[in-house]
Amino acid sequence: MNMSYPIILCLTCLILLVTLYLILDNRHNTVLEESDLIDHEILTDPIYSLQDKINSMLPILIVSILIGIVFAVLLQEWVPAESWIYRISDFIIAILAGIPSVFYGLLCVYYFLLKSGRVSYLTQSLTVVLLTMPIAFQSTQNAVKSVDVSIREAVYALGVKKSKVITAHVLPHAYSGIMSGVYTAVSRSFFVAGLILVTFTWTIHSRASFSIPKNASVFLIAALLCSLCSSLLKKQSVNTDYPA
Amino acid sequence: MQSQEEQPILSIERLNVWYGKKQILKDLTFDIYPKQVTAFIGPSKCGKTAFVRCLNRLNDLQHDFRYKGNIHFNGNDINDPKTKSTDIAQKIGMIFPKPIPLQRSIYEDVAYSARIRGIKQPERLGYIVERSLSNAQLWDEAAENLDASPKTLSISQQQRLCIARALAANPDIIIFDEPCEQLDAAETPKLEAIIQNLKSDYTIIFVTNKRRQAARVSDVAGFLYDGELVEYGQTEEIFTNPKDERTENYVTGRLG
Repeated sequence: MNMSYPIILCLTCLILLVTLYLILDNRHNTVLEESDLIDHEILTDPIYSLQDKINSMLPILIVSILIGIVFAVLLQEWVPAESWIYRISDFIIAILAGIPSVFYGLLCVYYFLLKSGRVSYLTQSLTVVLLTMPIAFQSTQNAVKSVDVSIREAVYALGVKKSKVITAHVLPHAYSGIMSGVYTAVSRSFFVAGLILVTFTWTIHSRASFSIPKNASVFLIAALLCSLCSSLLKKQSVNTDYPA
Repeated sequence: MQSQEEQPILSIERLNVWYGKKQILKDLTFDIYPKQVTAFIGPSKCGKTAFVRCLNRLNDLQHDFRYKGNIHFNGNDINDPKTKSTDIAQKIGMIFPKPIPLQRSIYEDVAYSARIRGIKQPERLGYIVERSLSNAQLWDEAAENLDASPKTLSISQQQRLCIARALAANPDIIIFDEPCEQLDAAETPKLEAIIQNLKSDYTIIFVTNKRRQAARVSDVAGFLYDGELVEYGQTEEIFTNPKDERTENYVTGRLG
């Protein structure tokens, strides 16, 4: 794992720079008018927008969580832990899961809503995927990893095929861990949607300009750093354990 | 080494095994003959378990496992890429130190390994379950509640259930990897009796770190020390007249 330290540092610096750029960039500090937003009813009519959002985003939510689960099982069971594919995907997922959810919401709003004046379907979907996929992935990976080795061995020793071992014995034992991840992922996406809705409704009604205040940015960066460190260190402590 | 005319069921040639950089087994060469109990004794971490895991290819699960050498089972190389590891595992059953029930009921647990072989007819399954459970000396205790969960059984009964499950797979060889480790001292004689009964139909490989038990149960014994097979021969010979000093020290209790 010592090879990953420089990467951790570089990535953290990169994310910090992007965040700083976003916060200090005043070009978008225009007063929002309701007419600026093509689909402003998203913000002004909560009932309509709720129905609409759930209808359009629910499939994406389900698909992205499923992708996370399937990807985690495939990676954990069929890719050796020392191969570069495993290391890189593991690392990227740890970074993505480590970024506090509000950053995804802010990025989505800042870059796509304010720059182009509308939220495209692709942007929304990407945000939902980034929010939920890493969480579903990580909890599935941990749940599958923590299934007792002796269960696998007992089944393998009877001459059962690997695919059958995983579907019939490993996944049922990991079920509660996987489901807990699913609920965390869903709650994360709902939380961000609610938070952004509150902020924006307030911004539009008060005709204030949308920008992140300097003192808030300090807290956001601190949260980002702590969260990233926590996620990466957790990953390392998991990686160092060695099967007996 | 053996006076028997029979062909060996397993022959091991120059087997070296590494986990990562650590060499676990060093240059083992010997034969195991059918229909007898072959015990492997030695202090813990001497490579006994690593060795028996090579036989049913359970070591394939270990990502840093490497080996050199050959293991022939009835004349076929078990590490041949053309040999399916599932076939090997079906022919070479294994009992673990800790019993692991896999299904919801006792009946299903035993029938499971018969189902893997492709047996579907209920009458045949019933017959196999009954025969396996009686061979494992659990039929009298479990016959009335075959639908009960295996978790309701005692540890000793669960271990016998695992033996029944291994028998239902119709193996040629059964490996017992320290099967009495989790059992009461009072339950051990029962398990030793089962092994003695199974000897007439199956080849038994028995791994233990209790020397007295090996002396009681086995016909042939091998003493492993630090990955080396120090001595291999008739159990009586090993326990009464060891040739190597280390074996003598171990057997008399001065080592390990």
